[in-house]
Amino acid sequence: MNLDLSGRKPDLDAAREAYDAYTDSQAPRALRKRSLDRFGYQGLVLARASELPAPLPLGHFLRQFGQSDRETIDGGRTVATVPQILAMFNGPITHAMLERGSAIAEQIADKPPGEAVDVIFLTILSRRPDAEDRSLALEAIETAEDAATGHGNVIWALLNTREFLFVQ
Amino acid sequence: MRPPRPLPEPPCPRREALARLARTTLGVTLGGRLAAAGQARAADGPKASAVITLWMLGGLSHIDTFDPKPGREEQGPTETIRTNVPGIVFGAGLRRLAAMADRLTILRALTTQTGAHEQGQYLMRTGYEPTSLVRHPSMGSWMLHATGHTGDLPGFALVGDPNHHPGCGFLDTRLSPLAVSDPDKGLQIARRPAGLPAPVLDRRLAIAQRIDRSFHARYPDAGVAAYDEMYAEAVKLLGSDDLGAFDIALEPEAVRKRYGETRFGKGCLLARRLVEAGLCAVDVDSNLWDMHFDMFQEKVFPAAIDAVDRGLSALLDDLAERGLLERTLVVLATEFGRSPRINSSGGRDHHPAVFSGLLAGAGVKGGMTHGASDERGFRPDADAITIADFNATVAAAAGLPYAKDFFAPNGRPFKIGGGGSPVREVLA
Repeated sequence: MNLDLSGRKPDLDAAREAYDAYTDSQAPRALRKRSLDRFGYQGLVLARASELPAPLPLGHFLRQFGQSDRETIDGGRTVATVPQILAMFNGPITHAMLERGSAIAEQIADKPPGEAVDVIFLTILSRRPDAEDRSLALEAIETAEDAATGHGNVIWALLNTREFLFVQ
Repeated sequence: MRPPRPLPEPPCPRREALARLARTTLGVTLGGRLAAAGQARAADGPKASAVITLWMLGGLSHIDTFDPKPGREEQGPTETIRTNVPGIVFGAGLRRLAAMADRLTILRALTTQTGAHEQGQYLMRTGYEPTSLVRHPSMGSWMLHATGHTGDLPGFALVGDPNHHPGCGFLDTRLSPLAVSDPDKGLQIARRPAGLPAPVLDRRLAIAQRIDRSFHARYPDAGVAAYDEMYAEAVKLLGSDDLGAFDIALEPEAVRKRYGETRFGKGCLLARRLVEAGLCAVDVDSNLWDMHFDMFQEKVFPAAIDAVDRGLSALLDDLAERGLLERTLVVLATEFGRSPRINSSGGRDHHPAVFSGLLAGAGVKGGMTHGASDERGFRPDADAITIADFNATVAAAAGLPYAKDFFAPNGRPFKIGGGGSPVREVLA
């Protein structure tokens, strides 16, 4: 199957611009901040963890998942907690993935269900769906009130698998 | 609802085998005293079914609070105030608590050898020194494990940063504290209006579970299982009718004012709401206390201690008015004290040799001090108690089996409170 990835290009360019602005130590702080805010969602900067200022404030998604506060050596944790799951269920980072305007939602908006399922699996789990996954996802999309809701349900479900959570 | 899983016990613990061997071959009894202590409770008074612990992280100065040395050079600029119990004097910043000292038990001779924050906090919260071999459970997790707490809400909450908390140690992940990083926001995500209606959540979770089956088959890993447990806990929590317990905005304005518009005061108010809703243990962290510099400036120690005085006194009053103090133990603890000598930067440095703690409410007596530091506040003078003793005292006040062995997955035995002996004089 052929995925049309050309639609992603402008996003990559914009991300590069933001990255350049952020890493340019000569740029005034305010300017760097503004360019990062273009990738903002509900007060969160959407960028790689390594490009965000550290430590992030207590309660930030990354701190919830155990990011160090950098007060002591080896201050990070990898412990499972309920607030992590609540954030995966219903937090702004998950909502950012579900709403129009996110790269994934734009990619699949007008695709037939079969292709949309491939995009969702490759984006979130970095693999193609097997036959059972595919029929499950297709059923979820086709029985939903509308395509966007169906897509949202599948995206949400994949984000809330252990397969997504753990590096293999 | 699942019952708590008992820890696996080795078929014949080494200690028991040795004891049996000694009895049969040498005619002596090893550990007889310990065994007896395990069966007898420390005292027969009513026990606490909930424990609220207020953590003064960074090291609370004993001289400026619960163990002043009026007239000594070491007292520095902090004035003292008489309490409503003759003979007990506090630092003047604690004027509200001074008026209810008849409810408080002050431990004035806590002692430790650990002068580093991280290690000291770990020792205080678990009763054990940190090691690389095993993570020990904190008191709240022990409580849930020993009492078999069940319910839609988790039994143990932490108002603070979970990264610095030993959590459930080697016990079940579901016994770890539910962390609320900001008492104003509560469990923000759980109450979003654009939230998840139950049918949508169920449908999505069903898809996730089926897609995840092959991953689970490939990785039967403890870390993965821990997340499975947390997912189950989160689903239970979202379905609970008591989620509002986490929302202090539901309190009347007057009540919130009483606790004070400070992070600590709000933490105390949240703790009361959670205990009222049936939680067993709440830790409220305040990390303002590492005062090496200019501590006597208005915004440093005086402001911080005023927040504690207001928050803790409001908490005790409020618990008492609601009849909750009869079943709730309130503990104020810190990892070590601060030096009697004021340093050249106008602060006090770490002082593990002697420091103070406070107990109030269910399971303890009140209106008394226990132990004493020397006349300059440097070392214990009488009835010194170790951190393990302190933890065992809290455990005994909550009716927990502090002398019983619990076995970690690596087969080693551990005790609630770290194997200390409760301070019987303070137990009700």
